Amino acid sequence: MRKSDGGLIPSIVHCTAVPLWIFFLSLFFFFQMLSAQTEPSAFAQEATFEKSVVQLSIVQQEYDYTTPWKKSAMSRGIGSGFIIEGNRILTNAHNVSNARYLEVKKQNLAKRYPAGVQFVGHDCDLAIVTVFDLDFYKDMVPLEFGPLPQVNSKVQTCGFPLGGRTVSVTEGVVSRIEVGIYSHTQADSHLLVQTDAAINPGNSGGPVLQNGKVVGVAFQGLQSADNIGYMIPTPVIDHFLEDIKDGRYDGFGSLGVFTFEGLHNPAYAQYLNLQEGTEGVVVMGTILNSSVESILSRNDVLTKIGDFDIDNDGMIRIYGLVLDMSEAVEQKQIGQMIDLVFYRDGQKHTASVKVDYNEPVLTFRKEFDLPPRYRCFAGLTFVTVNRNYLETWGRNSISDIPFYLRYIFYDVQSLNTDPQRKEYVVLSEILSDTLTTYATGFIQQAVENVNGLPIMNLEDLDEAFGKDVDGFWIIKFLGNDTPMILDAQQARLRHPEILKTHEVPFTPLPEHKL
Amino acid sequence: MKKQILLTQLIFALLLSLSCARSRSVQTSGELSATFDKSLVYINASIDQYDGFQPWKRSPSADSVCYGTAVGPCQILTIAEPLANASLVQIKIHSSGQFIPAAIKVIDYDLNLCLLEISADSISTPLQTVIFTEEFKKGTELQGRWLSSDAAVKTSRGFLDRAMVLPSPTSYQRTLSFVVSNVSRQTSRGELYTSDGQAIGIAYSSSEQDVFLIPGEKILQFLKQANHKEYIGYGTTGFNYFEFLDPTVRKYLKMPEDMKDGCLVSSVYSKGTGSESLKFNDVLLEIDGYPINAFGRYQHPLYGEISFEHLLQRHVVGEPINFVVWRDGKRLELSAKSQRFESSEMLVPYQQYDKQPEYMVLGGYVFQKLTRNYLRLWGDNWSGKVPPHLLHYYRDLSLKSDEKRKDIVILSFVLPSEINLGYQNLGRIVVKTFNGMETNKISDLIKAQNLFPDSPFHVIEFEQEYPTLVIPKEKLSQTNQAIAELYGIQKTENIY
Repeated sequence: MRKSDGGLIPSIVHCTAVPLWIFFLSLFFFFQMLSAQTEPSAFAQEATFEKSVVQLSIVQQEYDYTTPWKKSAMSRGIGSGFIIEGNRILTNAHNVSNARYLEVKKQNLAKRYPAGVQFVGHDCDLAIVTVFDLDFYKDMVPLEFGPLPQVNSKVQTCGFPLGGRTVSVTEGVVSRIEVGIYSHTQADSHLLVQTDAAINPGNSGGPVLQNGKVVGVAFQGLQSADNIGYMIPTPVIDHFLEDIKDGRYDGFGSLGVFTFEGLHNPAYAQYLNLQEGTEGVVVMGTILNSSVESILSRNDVLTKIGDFDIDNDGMIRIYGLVLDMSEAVEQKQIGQMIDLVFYRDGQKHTASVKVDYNEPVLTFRKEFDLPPRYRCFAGLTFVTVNRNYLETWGRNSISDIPFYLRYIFYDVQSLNTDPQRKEYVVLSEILSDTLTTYATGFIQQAVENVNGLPIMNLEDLDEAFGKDVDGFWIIKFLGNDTPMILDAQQARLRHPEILKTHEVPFTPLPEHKL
Repeated sequence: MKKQILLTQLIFALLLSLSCARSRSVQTSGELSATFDKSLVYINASIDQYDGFQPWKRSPSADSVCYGTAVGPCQILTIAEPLANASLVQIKIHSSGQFIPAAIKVIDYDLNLCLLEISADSISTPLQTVIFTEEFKKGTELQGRWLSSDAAVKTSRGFLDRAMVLPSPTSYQRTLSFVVSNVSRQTSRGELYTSDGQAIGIAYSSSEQDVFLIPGEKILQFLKQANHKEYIGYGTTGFNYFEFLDPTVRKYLKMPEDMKDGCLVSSVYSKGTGSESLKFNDVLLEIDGYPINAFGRYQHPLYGEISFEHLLQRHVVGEPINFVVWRDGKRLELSAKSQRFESSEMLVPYQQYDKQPEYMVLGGYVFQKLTRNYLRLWGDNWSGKVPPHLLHYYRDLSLKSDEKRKDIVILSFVLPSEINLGYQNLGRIVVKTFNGMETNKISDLIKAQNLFPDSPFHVIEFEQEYPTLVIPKEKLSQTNQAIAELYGIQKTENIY
């Protein structure tokens, strides 16, 4: 089974379950400098590298997702980027995510230029960085973009492996073009180009060139194999650059439909009253509140998306390649329409559908840059359930996390049938106090309701904790019959003291309502 | 001076005589222990269990060794766990190296005890019977004894430390155990433990420092029932509980401030003692007149404070039992009858020994009944690895099944063939309906095949977002036969 328009859910589940062999490590491509005997164009390119490729130094700091008012330890990193038109530097999002300080350096020059992140697309691992001092751009040459490279064609990758003062250039061959996981968020899938370039730690965000034009941005390698590196190709870069033209990054959209390659089975096709020879994929379900929820139904057969016929494997012919049908949606920006052809009970239907985020209430992607939302009432610390929180259990998080959180993570699509739900909320921590001496057993459980009010998002807690039930706070958790019961009056009295003791930024309790 | 020598000689003689007396005493204890040697039995079993994923075939045979104690002229007591799925049981007795065939007379996995029987003709003299005692003397030195395969008696030592109610390796129940501390060897296969000529219990588990015994009390209960015409068995706990220390929750339940005792009923099972009378959030105050404290323990005259579960498990099924609870702000007396919750009655059976798993192969699709044995096939830390939807049924609903749904039926995996093209990666998913009929028991798979005889397909729906499974009926029986031959399946269904 697959999710046709992004493949997020099954992919990330398997990715987490078998982390070693599909754990992508973001690294820099590293090649030997081309010698003077190579193709004549190399001379011109070498000159361009010097005036186009830059080194980024970043100080990064993540948030603590269990006690979210704290931040984790700092780390320093080095990445690459390159100048594009408009005095901008294109690089990878993972180079600048959670950045607290950023500076840019040119090849063979000592001067450092403080810089800022102008746009970041975590879902496609691309970012635009700008240097505050405009003199920086005076002698720099912006690179132009080329088309999607051909398989088996040569490409040159530029960057700063392990730092260094000069740009390193290596040559490789395009081995494969397919839709695959982008490791930065561990959840998003887009078109990517595989090369046989040697991969070394140190540099992402450098340009991959062909005939002097950028055909990709180097961004990740496969740790478990030799000579498998990946670049972000120009269709994805174009989408990003087009998206930010209005001054805001919206991201990639999807349809919100789950499909199954069931038409390989003639009995299934016959059961669905399809004419012999009809190719396509069968709709299994739609995401709650998605664009297609009111259009597609279970056992509909999708046969065409946009201008592309869908085969029984869910693939379309695009860019001269056979790629996942999600690639048709990838060409669209959020809010644009895409046409669908589908069969229901043997009858042909057409529909025009808006491309939107269409995500389940528990998103599987990692979050960056935004401080985690939380509430801390009388030491009860609530955060939203997301990948960042679940990864606090460490590398084996998927088998070690408490059962119900794992259940939600895997099966949110079938567990949540309430269109009002925006997210799941978890009691991440109970700050020690006499108030909660006997209540510690409820930690790390997902909240179902508080004082009788269902908790559909974090903000619902504000209203719920303004109430009580006969003088008690009653907190009910998913998959647990026994509620947590606290003396509401005592909790209100203890709230300021608990926050002070544990150095939590003070926020008043919701106003008590009868 | 003479007087001094005489006094010294007198003291020396006194010390010598005391020393001899002590020596005789030790010898007596050893002799007493040695009297059990003729009752010790070596047991070897051939274990033939079915393959969990391919339940039509057996896994390779394995040998299992355990140790027994004669409890009748032709009867041997041992623990149940090593004899689960045994196809052949043989014993050796102290006087002979020859194997003697034995039959399982009664096996109770809740008590983890097994009674074997041998033919009177197979031995020249009756076995020397051991009678177990219910005594418990904390701190007593115990001797462990067992007959090894080469007919030698092996021993170990330790000290009887405490009585506890502990999880059983073969049941969802927690049962009474004796803990033997500072042991000289780890023993866990039915070895007999004695003290001063009395049989105290048999070993069933061990840790680095401790050996855990099934005590004489449980053994005597078992033997009393085992020699009845029909083995009825003892009650099992029909509810779960939490220790109840939180004064806020006591206040919420309107309990008087001076009422500090009683544990909290956190869930009630569909069967078992107390399941018909207790309710969620009852505070359990007394059982059969014994006050229950906030930790769920009562004062036993011999064992000291011990879990109330021990009180429930003393009763034969059907015997009356009395509870006092705090419910709805009032003290309430309740009468109930002892009940036994058999593993086979659970929505997801806790254990399934000595039986071939239930399954059906249709069109290459392998349907199975979900059991804990199946979930355990995921290996170490299985609960963190199995699909959570399957674990949910075991964890949250297994002991609280409703009247309607008796089994969870799953599509385990698919044996690839042309008929199931496109569906071959499906597996580990729960069947919802078969030809429109809800699948509440695995036998419904057979009944549902007779529905809609004019339809060219069998149509199966699954829980969650999985595809509709369509199986063409045309030539299905021939296809089934071909698949069975191809994959070496002797029997395409086993449904009780």
